[in-house]
Amino acid sequence: MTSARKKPLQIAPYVFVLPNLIIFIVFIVIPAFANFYLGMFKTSPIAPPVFVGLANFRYIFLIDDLFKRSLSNLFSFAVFDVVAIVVLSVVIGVLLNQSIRGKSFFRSAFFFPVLLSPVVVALVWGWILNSRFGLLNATLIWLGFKGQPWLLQPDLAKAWTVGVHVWATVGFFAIIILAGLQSIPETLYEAAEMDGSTPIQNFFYITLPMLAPSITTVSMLSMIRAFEIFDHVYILTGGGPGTATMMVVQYVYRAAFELDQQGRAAAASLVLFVILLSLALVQYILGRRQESV
Amino acid sequence: MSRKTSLPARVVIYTVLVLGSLIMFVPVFWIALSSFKGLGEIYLSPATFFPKKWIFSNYSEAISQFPFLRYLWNSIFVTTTATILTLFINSLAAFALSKYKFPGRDFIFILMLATLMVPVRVIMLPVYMMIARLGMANTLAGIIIPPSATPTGVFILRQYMLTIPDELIDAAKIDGAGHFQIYSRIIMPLSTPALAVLTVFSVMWRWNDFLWPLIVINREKLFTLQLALARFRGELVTDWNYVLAMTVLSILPIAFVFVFMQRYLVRGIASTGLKG
Amino acid sequence: MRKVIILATVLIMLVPLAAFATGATETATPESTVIRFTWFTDGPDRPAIEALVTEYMVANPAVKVELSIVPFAELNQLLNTQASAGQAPDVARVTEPYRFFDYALDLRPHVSSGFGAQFLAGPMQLVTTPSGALVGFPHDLTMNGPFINVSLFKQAGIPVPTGKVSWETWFELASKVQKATGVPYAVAADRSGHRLDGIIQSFGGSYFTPDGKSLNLSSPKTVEALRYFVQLHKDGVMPLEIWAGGSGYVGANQQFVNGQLVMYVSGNWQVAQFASTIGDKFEWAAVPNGYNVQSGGMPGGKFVMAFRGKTDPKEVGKFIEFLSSKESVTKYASTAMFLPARKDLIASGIQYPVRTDVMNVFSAGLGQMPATSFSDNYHLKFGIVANVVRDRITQAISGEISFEEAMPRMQREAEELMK
Repeated sequence: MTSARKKPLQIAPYVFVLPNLIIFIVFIVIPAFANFYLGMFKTSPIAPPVFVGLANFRYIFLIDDLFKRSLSNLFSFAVFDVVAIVVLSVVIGVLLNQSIRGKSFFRSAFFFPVLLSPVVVALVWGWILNSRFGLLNATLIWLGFKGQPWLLQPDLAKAWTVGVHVWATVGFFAIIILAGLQSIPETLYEAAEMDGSTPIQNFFYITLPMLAPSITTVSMLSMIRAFEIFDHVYILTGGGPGTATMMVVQYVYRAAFELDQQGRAAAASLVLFVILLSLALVQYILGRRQESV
Repeated sequence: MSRKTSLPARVVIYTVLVLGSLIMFVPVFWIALSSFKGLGEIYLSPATFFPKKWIFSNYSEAISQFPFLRYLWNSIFVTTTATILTLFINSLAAFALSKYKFPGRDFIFILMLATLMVPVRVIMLPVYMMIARLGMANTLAGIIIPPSATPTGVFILRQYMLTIPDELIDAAKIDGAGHFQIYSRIIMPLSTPALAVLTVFSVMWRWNDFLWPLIVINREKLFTLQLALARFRGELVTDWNYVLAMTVLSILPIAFVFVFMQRYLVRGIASTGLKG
Repeated sequence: MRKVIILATVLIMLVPLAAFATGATETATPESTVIRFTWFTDGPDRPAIEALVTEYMVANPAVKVELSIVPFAELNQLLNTQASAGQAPDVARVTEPYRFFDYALDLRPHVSSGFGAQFLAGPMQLVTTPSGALVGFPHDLTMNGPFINVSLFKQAGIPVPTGKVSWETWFELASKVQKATGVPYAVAADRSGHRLDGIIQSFGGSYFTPDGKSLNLSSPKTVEALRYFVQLHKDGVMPLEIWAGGSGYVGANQQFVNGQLVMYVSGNWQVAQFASTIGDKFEWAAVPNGYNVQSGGMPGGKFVMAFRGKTDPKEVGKFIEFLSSKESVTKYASTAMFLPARKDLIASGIQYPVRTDVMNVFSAGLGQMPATSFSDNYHLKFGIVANVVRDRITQAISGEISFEEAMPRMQREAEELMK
């Protein structure tokens, strides 16, 4: 890789990695393991923790219906969220890649919501979608339609949690796609045009295949984010109506801080970690295979 | 890309882009307008778009309830130092991971990526215990240091540095440059676009950080601006007029940084290894 | 290579250095005692507590009280995390003291011997640990109860009933008023297991058996009340947006303040905000809780408790004595329009700046609640069970599962948490 590799062992790279690695191990790796360890204890505010082995896992999987529910909510959220992000980021990326006036304005516009904190995003949309005081229903009424209980009907609420999260993050992914588009050599298109290929054919036969690595990156990153979703949804719907939009991190939060069950919370977070890691591995392996074909 | 597009295609492209931009801007714009409404008008149904009566006291009253300048200063201090620290240690690590081959390199890299999959919320308690043990509870250092070793930052920088030709490094070596000089004189200047991206992200993350500062700091004189936004959210009563005003105030600086860095940002992401 | 080693040393030192550099403020005031005081606010109490803190510091120049105001939504997580790492504030305002008993400071050696006896016995139980330690005091009492929009009743030509009125009658009347006046909402109740219990009590039900040893969720009276409550949402008497529209606590202040809601089941903490935001827009009042087989309603309140820490416990005790004194509580309760928990002030009454009539309705209600209202509220697991009931009933209200499915799940989860 570099000329430096000829030396048997050098100290320099370790020194360079060290500061980052120390902070990283102390504040992420060790706490993560500590948390998993906590998953094997029964905790209570009025008694010392008791080692219970796998009992917490048994409880969340076999006894508690809410964990399963939050898992299934999370999977359906993630599927819609990732698909919507991939499709929309490609569409937006392609549009932003056209030679048009005001390109940088449009790029900023789509990126703008990425700057907002999840709290602000959820606050803003909470007001917009409020069935009584919100902007959306006010507009609908003004146009002569009927207002809808956007966040009060389970399916609508599920759709909006996806919608709001996509709104807040799609700009980031569109830019990744844009980067991918810009690395496609112009000559490919020129050659295709000489062969009489239409723009639509170009898109499917040149753009999409060349974009595959970027799309993999986008789907991987958006999937990780989708599985870790908490603040956006928690502040927007509170997991409701009922538990229709309760996701796993909210389950963890509720167990830990509303019901004082730190051990169960830790167990649930370990399950989430294992799921995420295996999904990422599957994607990584698929990506590898794709590349080697 | 300079291929010509037909007129109808242009009309479609513009329409979609303009509509899209509206969807992106209008919600925040409406909230900004609503921050000038009185509590009575905020609770009006159906909602109004423009305030019927402009009330500027939402801002002055909200600000007067806490030491605004001190919070602002704390926010700026945390954001700046954390960003510098992040840029420095992330770029050092990325340099090592991209330009050296050493035993354990891949392990370190994979370890970093794997932790992307641990939601920060769920490990907050053990992280805090760590902070407390190191005597960093109730210090700004406690807010600044733990989140500075970002896996995302290392990843972005590493991917970018991989594209820097090794010949440049070899040439510098022949000129007698040391390891750190190669880093500071060659790698860093050439990584400007990726560093710009990480700067924007880091500023954004640290400025918007809310829960972590809230837990680490329980002395009001070390509070950051985001924590002020939260103080108006009570158990039973929330002063929405103040919350909206503070929300707008907290967005402003970040929007300013964005306008300033916008050009670098789009170009930066476009040229980083993020393209996969 | 030497440069590299020097650099490494510098870097390794950088981390703790940075910590010290910014952490210097921590030890900057060795002369004076610092008391860290964490507070969450309900609005009107904020100026009141700030004034008291200032007053204390003026009287005790050697003490610095650092008041941090934090959002209620994060309070439990915040205190839990800080306390488990030995970094709890010295004093904090909390709703459920038992959550932090492990970390609490036993105040008995640091306050006067008659300290606990100054307050109502029921709330005092909640700041007394199983081993008998005294960790704080009830700062204010709250009382659940309904508000009505009197103007809407008048407009509809329906007289406001007096005497023992059942919840059913109240809600029917409110629905009639709503239909006659065309406002969007008839009745709303805060999304809270605590407010819900206030309605259940009136049916003769409760969350716990009176001895507090077991759950009472499946008793016929409790079930009847819960079923009725779910049905109110199915019938459209209560709007979905409160109970199905959020997490944790959701109130209907907005609707009531705008004159769009006929009847609002909430509590006395709303009075200050109502008085200032409603103004002359319409006439409103508090009315007694519904009376089915007995009067409904729940007591509640906020506590101030002390945590173990590095600060001199004597100083913490002194500050607690100050906050709980007759003078301080009078100032606090009258500014914030809260009910006091001190026996002497309950006996003498407090003069409020406005709407003393409304406050009197709530104080009167305190004396009429059934014994199970108190035994429920002062049960150590009340907060947890109330959250479970709230969340499970929400599932039934939103139609996610039927009421018949919700009840056994509620029972099972609550039982699990009683262990």
